[in-house]
Amino acid sequence: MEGVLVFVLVLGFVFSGLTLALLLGYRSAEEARAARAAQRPARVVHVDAIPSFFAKADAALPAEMREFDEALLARIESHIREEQALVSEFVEYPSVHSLYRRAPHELRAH
Amino acid sequence: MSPAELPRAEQVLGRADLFRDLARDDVRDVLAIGRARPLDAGQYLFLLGDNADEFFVVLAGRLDLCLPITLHGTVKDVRVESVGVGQALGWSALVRPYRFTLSARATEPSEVIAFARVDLQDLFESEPAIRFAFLTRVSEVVGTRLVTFQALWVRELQRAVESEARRTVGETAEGPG
Repeated sequence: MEGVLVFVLVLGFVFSGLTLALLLGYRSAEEARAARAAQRPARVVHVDAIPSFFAKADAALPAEMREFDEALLARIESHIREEQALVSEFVEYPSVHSLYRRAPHELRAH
Repeated sequence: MSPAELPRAEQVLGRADLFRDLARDDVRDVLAIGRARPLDAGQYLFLLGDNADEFFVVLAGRLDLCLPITLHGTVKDVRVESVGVGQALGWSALVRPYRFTLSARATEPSEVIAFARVDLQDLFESEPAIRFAFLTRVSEVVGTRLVTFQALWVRELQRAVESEARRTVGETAEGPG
């Protein structure tokens, strides 16, 4: 009887030890992962830092060119509004037909 | 928000899509962690690429969501969406990597309610029903944006394909000589 009791106690002790070891191992792995994530540098890209083809403003741009750009910008925004109105039906009722509804105006640069 | 601001905010947000599944008390709980922020006409609320730590609902006025486009070496903001009273913006604050993917600019004197992500997360922890209702509506906003841009993109792609096909047919018709 005493032997069984000792065996159960030893078994319980071993099982508790293993469980504790597993828990501590998991916790330290999670802590290490969190520490690595905290060390990772944050990457923030600002509009004025957009690279390559988004070049800096050309201060020497002639006035008529600036007017042309403003007009083109207005047409692009108008085009986007028209397109969004057209695809709004697709958003509610997706189908090939609603996706390819014809636009009243095409966006052309010239 | 201050007690004086609450009734107006409650009235506006009570009608907003984002809050339509919330009980009146739940709307008050959400508003309690909000901070009103006035904006001048033309003022930017956030820029593309900024850290997204706050989510916003328009309380008054109107804001444009813009993407940068370059014209003769100058970066211009092109409006791709406009949001008015009761509408939400800045859902990037709720999903990784927590960076804004558009810029937001007030088109007229406006006011938004800002909800810090950490405050929302605390509220969601203690009020699972608010979390479910709120995030369900935010998912709709995100889903609508996704499907809209998917459709816009595929239409432009289709135009490019048709334009290329017309060009090829034209070159073939002209012949080698």
